Amino acid sequence: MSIKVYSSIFAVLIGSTAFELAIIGQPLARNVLVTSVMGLAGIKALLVALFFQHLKDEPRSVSSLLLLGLVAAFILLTLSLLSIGALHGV
Amino acid sequence: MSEDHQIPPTSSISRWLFTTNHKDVGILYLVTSLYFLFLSGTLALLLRTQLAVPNNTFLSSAAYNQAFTTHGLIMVLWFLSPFAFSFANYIVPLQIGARDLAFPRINALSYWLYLFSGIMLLVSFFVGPADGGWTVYAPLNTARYSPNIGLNLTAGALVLFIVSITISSVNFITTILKMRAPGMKLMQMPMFTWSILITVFMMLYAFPSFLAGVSMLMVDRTLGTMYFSAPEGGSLLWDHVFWFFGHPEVYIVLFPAIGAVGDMIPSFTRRPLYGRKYIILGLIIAAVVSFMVWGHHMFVTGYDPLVAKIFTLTTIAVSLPFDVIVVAFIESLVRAKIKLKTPALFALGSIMLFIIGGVTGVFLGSVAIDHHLRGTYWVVAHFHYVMVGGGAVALIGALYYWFPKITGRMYKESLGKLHFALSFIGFNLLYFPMFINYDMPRRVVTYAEQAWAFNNFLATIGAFVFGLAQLLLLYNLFTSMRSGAPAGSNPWNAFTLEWATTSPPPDYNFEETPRVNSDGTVSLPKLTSFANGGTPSGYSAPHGLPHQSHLSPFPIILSALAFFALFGIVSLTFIPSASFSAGIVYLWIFFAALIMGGFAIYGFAREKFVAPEDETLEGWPFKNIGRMKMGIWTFMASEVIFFGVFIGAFLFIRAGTAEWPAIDTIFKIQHGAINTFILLTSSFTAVMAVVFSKKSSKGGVAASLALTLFLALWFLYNKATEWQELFHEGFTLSASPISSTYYITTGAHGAHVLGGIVALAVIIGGVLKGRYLGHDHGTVEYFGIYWHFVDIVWIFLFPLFYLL
Repeated sequence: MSIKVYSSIFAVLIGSTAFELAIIGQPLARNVLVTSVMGLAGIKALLVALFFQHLKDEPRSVSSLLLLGLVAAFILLTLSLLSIGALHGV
Repeated sequence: MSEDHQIPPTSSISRWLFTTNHKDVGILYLVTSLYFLFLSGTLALLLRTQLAVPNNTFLSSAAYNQAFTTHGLIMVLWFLSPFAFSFANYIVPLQIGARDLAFPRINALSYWLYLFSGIMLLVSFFVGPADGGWTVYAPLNTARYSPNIGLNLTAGALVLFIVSITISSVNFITTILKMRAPGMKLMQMPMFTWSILITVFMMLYAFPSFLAGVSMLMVDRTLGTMYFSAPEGGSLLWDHVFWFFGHPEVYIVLFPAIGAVGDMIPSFTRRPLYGRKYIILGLIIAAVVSFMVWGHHMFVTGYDPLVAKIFTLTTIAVSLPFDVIVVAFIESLVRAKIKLKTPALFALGSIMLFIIGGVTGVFLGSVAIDHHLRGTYWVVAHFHYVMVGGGAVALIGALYYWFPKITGRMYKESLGKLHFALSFIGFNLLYFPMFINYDMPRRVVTYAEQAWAFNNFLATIGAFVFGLAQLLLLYNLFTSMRSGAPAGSNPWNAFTLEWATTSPPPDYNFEETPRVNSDGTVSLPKLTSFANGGTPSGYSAPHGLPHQSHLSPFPIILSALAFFALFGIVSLTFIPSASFSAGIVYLWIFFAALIMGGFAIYGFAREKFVAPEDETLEGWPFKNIGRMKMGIWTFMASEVIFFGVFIGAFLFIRAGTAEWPAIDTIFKIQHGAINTFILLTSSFTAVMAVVFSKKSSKGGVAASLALTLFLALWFLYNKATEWQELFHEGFTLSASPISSTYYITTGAHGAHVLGGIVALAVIIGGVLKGRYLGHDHGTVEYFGIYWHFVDIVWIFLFPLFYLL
């Protein structure tokens, strides 16, 4: 990958962080705010993984290893929060 | 030392201290795990003596609690898995035609960390052991209810043990997926190797959860945080984190046994395993579902009924693949002319015991029945039938099965059969009466109920028969090792690759790499016939590859230093305030071990240790990725769970907290934002370092890495400043569950940043000397993978703590 691509990704990361900071002060509903901020965080993480860690150039089996970890953590998180009724109404 | 091509003879102490050869490490695991078996077995006999008659006073309640806790911890963690992994170490590389594991020094490090973790557990036993059961339930595990140093040391022992398990998992995954003999497809791997592959994947994803939990327990007990002492987290949080690891752990100890049985059955029935691919599929499905069933251990906690229904469904579901596996084993035996040698007897016995253990476990998947059986001897009988009957009994069979390969000599068959008969009778006499006493509560020192007396007496008789029978195993193995009949290469006429080389195999396993043909047969270009354990004269490494190194002092040094560092820090918090000098001693132990550890890591990194990478080996589905890089990625997968659990614990506590501070009140957005920009920039400089490294631009790499180092230091400086401000405002570690999660989650991340800084310093030193450039850019790239992961974690921590 070229330096131009890396620079562009870096610019997007900085820009989206600035955007995160900008929307925090806006009078948005809590659900919208949480979804927006965490969504942006997810996109930033994905960009770092795909382009800086070069995950997009690795065999799909490597992504699968990480994805399995994410899914396992997600299952733990979801069921443990459900167990205390934290996700009711979501 | 590491550049020696020959391993010293087995009579040399230095061989056993410094070896990295997988077969030697396997033997070390075997001896150590058997030691723990007999130690923990002795504790079990003490427990059974106490329960032999009603109202017995043989043990005090405190001693009884300590004995069953240590018995459980050792049997589950320090015996069963390491026993299985003694065979995994010795046999798996042979079964796939490899010359060693992918990372031999890491393999030795795994063993020594395991040994030192066991030593720390034993130290804890003599200074005030844990006494709340092997599950170390909260809030009993907190400093308030267990105000002794023993549980701190137990937690330290668990940390060492889990680190050992994690790096071992990375090693085996990389080895099995990247170092199979040319032509060996995944489905052609022997059953034992398959079972180990699935087991290490479960270890990779299950143990980080336990590591995170034990880390939280350690900081609760040493730094005064409140993960498990505050109601917002408390016992329910521990239960989730523990059992998310704990249920897969049951399969982790069981699967290698199933794999070993899967290899033994064809050898003694002289025909292929029935439904082999369905057994493999069953193991995979059970492994996946095992991560979704942990809640059935928590039915009586009174959590949400919807979640209980989900866990009931998944628990019933996870039993189905085991049905397939058992039916396939039974079908393999139907109308077969079974050679009833000792390993076959143990294999058949284990299948029978596992069926009883499995069927009795299904009852516990029902919420209604579980409410009655929870905490009774029904549960004790059930899991012993599974873990001892299905697990340990099969693995003892595996020990007889592979003993000729390991020693080159046959054991005494008649003694082996007597051992099996006594073990089988003793086992059932010990555990079956516990099913009949299904209403007797477990973990209680004595009982007055006469109705339970007879069954308890029978169980105690059975325990002594079962326990003493194991002495026959030791006697048989010790005497046969010296005077047994020569075994030859393949005494069982077995079909798997480990039997295609001499017994015991030479240092390099095979003179030339075996090749697996498309029909599953194996071509061995030159099968040597040299004497047991010897190395043929004029031996040359295959394909002109450099000689594999076999010795390194660093695994044992690093493990010992890790032991002392943890020992110092966990002991420090239990020094009485008056004993200032003792505190200083422990502090010195900690810092001395830490500093020496830094030098040892540097020595490890600089040591010339050759583990040649052979491009001709079968490596699907990781063919196009280097061994080291794959190891790093695999390790990162475990890190995903580790931080996932920390973040999960934070969200769990946050969900249970009535009022969370408004944004920008405690956690200032300014601090978080600046650090976010810093880390994002450091990711950019790190990726530029890779670009310059590939272009062989020494100045470019050095400048990029130096900038990354500067940004990392700036990040930590900002973090320290922020922490100092918060401390001044009274927001200390023990101020609230909110502060606990904040300091520990961001602290764990900060520790990773610190780790990156150490790595950066070493790499920059190398770059300045002209290394890591051009084709040698791998190290810079591997650092980048780690560093970007640290950045990704912060990308999530920033909004969670500062913006929402």
